[in-house]
Amino acid sequence: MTFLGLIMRGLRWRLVSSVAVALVAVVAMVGAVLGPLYASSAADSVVREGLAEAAPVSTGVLMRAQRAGQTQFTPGDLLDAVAERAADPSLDPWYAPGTLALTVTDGRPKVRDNPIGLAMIGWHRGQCGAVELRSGSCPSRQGEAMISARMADQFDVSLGEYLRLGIRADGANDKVKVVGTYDAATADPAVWGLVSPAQFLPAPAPDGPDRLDEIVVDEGTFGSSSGDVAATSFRALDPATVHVSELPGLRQAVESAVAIPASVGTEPRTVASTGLPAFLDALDPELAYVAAASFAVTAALVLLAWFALFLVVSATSEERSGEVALAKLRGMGARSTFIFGLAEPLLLLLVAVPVGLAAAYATNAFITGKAMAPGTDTAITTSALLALAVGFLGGVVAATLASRRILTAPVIEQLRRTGGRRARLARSVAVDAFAIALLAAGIYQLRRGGSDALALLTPSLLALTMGLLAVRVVPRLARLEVSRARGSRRVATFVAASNIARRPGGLRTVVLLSLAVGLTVFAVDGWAVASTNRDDVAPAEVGGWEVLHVRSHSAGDLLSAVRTADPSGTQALAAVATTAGSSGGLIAIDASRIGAVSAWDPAWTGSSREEIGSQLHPEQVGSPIPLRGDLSIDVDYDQALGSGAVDLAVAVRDASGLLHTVDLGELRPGPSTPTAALPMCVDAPCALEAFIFTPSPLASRGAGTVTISGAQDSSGDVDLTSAGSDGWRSGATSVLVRIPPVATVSVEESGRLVTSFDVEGESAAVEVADHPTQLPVFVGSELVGSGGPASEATVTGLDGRALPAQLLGSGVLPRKLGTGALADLSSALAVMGSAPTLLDYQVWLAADAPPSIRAALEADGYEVLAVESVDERLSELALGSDALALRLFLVAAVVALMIAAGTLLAGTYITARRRAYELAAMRSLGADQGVLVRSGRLEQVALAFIGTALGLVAGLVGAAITLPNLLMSVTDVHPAPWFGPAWLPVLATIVGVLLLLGLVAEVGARRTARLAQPDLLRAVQE
Amino acid sequence: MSSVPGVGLSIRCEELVYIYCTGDVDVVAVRGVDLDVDAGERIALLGPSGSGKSTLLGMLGGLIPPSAGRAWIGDDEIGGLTERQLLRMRADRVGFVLQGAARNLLPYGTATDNVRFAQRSISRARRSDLLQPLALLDALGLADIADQPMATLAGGEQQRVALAVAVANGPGLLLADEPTSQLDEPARDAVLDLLEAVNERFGTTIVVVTHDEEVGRRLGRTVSMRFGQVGHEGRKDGQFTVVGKDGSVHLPDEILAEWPPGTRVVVELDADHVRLTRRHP
Repeated sequence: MTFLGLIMRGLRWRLVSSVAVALVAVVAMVGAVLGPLYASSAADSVVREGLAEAAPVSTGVLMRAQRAGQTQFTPGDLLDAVAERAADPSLDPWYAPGTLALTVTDGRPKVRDNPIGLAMIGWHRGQCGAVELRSGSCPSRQGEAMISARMADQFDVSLGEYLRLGIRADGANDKVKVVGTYDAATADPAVWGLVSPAQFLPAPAPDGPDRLDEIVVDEGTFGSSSGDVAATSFRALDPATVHVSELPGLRQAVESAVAIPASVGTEPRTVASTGLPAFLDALDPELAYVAAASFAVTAALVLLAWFALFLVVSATSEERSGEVALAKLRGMGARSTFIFGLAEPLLLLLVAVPVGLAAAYATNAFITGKAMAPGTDTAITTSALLALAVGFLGGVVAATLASRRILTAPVIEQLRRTGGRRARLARSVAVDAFAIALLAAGIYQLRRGGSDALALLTPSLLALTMGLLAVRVVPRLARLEVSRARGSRRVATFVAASNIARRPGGLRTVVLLSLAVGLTVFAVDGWAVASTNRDDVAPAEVGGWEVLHVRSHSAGDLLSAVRTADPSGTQALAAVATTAGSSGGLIAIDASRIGAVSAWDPAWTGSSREEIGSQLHPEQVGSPIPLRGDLSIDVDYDQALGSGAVDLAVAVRDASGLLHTVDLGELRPGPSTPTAALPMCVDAPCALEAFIFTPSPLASRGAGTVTISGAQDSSGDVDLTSAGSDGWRSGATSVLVRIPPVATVSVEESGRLVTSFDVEGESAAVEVADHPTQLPVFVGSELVGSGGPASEATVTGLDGRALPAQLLGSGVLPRKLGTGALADLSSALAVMGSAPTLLDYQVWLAADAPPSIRAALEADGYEVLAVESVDERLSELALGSDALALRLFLVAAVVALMIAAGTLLAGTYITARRRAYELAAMRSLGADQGVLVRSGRLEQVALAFIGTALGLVAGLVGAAITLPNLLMSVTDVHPAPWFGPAWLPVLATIVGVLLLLGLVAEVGARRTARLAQPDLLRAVQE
Repeated sequence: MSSVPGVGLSIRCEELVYIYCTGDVDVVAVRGVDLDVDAGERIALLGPSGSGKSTLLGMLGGLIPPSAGRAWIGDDEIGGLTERQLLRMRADRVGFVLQGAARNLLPYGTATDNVRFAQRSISRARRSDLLQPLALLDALGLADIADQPMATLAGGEQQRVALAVAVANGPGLLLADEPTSQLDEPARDAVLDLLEAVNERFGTTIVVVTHDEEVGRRLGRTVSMRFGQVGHEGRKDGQFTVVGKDGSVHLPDEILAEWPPGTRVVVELDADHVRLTRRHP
């Protein structure tokens, strides 16, 4: 039998102890290595998620050569230069092969000699196989082109017809034959790169050109072009190929790829650009954060694991004391005794290393698969191996410290089981002082707003410190209880208190529990708090439960279309958002529906679902007056003395929300019937907005009374009084320049509209009071108190114009969060003076919106460009670095509880026989078995309760001081981020922990009492 | 190969004292013991519980440092040896058997394992000069239980294995604390046979602590101990005995041979000596 065989027999001999040590050792190794493994995966997840979410333009590499400035080169030369540069092999591991294209971005094509808009003219390598043809063929020779099916329909272009591309000033060689049509939506980005051929956008202004889909031509078409042709190549990053460990290499490759001198000798000059370094820079804080959390968790778990190992090995070392004494009796030297004494725990530790690594790997792989970005890797990193080594060495040290008494005690002392030397007070005080100093440093870091490893370790340090202090206090309290119980009949209490007062093992249990429960409470509280905050923030960021970004001609059209698609008013609403404006832009929604439809909670602005609609769109005294077709009115102008003629104009708003001011001619004193053609009101009715009176150019002053006794449109009489008796008001809010109220207006019972004014050099106007004079808005909370709006302010409207606004309140707005303004869409349209700026057209859907609404909108021609949802956003937030860090804490909590419960159970089993001797002696003196069970239970429960209570306090306090620094993804946008405590999950956890510990205490107490038979003493005698 | 160092080791104690503290009280466990044991001799330390026998044995084995006095094992004065030297002494010159056979054995090992474990305390080079575990067990009549785990052996068998383990490294001195206690007579005899075999085959000096007078008779020389002191038998250069608390006095064997137990004597105090006169019936 070899020495190893002998050790193996020893391990089998005390199987329970061996299994206990092995389990604790395995869990210790899992604890040590899980943090770094998780950190690596979490960092990988953050990178993958970030890369996947990032626009290709910000991570890809774009090579470009422009003909402007180097006209000595042909487009072919430029193409060759770009292709050569794009073929940089250092990018190959992460980047797709480059696209290759020749394009002119500002072509002005003509159909049948009529300009039809702005279009990109392009050739792309491999284009014919990368798009779906609707008709005809793909251009294969110079002078051929294909256009999008949409464009062919819109401009009635047939195959074989010729277009002019409009890429040359002289128009020469610019004619191409349409040989096919294609579906722009089917273009493969691998060929088209960053710019999709589906570029159609209606002109924002009535007289502006539409942006058309790309006109695809053959490469040869550019051959002789003297236009501003650009050769481009785009290499898209494939996020699936990027592992976090490769980031430095990736960064270096990209930086060198774009840093190559743009011009070499007589070669064409190429320019390369990428947003990747900036993107990676933005990721760095998140990666550092995950690393810090990993370190904090690893440190806490390793500390806990070492401590657990110390406790379990201490318990088993008592069992092995006689054998070690035997080695000394036989004259073994210190080294041999040391090896023999530690061989068993060390062997178990050695076995635990690969098993722990495998278990941690499997655990991490499971978590990664369930809770991280798709494709996230579980890699055994250097830091993981280092942590494993540290865990192992720490375990060796813990086992050595735990065994030091039996290894160093004199044989005779060991054989007689006389008490060992007491730990030196100075040493334990030094440990306490060190823990307190670290805790103070951690709190200082937190107060400075830090979220580094030390700051994140603070909850664990707090729990540890409280546990260490309890070791000082609890024995004293126990001794007091001993004194009180001594004179009473409370034998169980007396025995339990005595054991607590004199057994260091029990007090160490308090430290262990304090640390484990503290970590658990912190993790559970942190996770619950973070989840609640995420549940708040995600709806605010998205707005609706699902948001469709659609292509629309106008906000007014969309408003009508959504109302038609959802007549109930509870499932969908139209919204448009601007990005213009210095304060975050405007989000305008159909306010009458927001209370029912939105995921965003109006309470964030101090409003409510019931009230916000009427706040944003207060009831107006006037009703809209529809007009259809041409307008004529019966007017009688009673000109005041000293004034001249006035020009009369009518303002109407068409169905798309655009305002049109149409001149009705000059008014002279007396009756007249001016007319105006309103072609914009023929297909769909317009709304009458205002009548505007402006002194004629020859008259400096216009004053008098205008009585409008009737009006007719193509449908017949127009009832100007239908707006209501108070439905007209002076002034106008909806024209390009706001007209102040310098007129009076009244509606007579006879149906006449009577207006009086007296203006010099300016206009007077009367308008239908069907919209507010000031746009009611809520503004983002960040704009208040920093020079932002007071109760009255101006906001930037849909047309980019500053509008007078009525400030209803401030808070976190849907999609705009702390900035921007929220208004009613119809009100915003009603005060829109000119063509809108570039808008983001959205349809918000309620949580239970049926698919038919989207289908109806698509059938109505509203192409869905992108979809967002609250669920998706929640998933994304759950993949943020802080969420991943908290998840790691949660996993660590589970491991910590396993370590604690396992250690307690193992300790109970291992020490049961030793303790049973004492109890057996008590039984032989007449103590009842029930009393012994109760005393054991009482001791264990008291220690568990103290440790748990300390852990609860430490965890809650730790969470309270740490979470504000930890939840960075929500605290930035949440108006009043909530930092707990999340009592329900925390208390549920505590109840679970106490039940678990109670079970362990019961099992231990019963086993010890069962062993404590008087026969046991006889066996010792023998 | 042999495990015998050639000759046994002699023992000499001069005024050996051991005092230990219990609470605030100093207790003199061994008080001025003088003892001579020749190399290869077999003796029994006989005395009641608490008389200091085991403490004296512990001092001879280097487990308990003497409080005063001097003791030699062979040529080595144990008071002058370092802890390392004491370990070395126990490794190759002094075998020690603790009271209670099980305490001398690894419970999960076989007899062979235990012998081999004991032999790990000496260098590999020296180990090769020793009897291999099986050979040793065979030589001591324990071959049939060589591969049995300790837990399966009877008390007497365990005790014999414990003795075998103690002599595994061929010590010149074997110290055994109560090796026959709690054994029935056949088992006790078997243990004593083994002790004799060890002594005769290897020349090992044997000191056995016992309560059993029969053990003393089998070993040949008995040294009595009472109150921490040895009787006259302890010294080779004179006849000593100790007056017990109850007034009893142990007489040397040669006198006992003449005056068997039950002999009536007249005790008279005469100046500085006591005279015992046989009273014939």
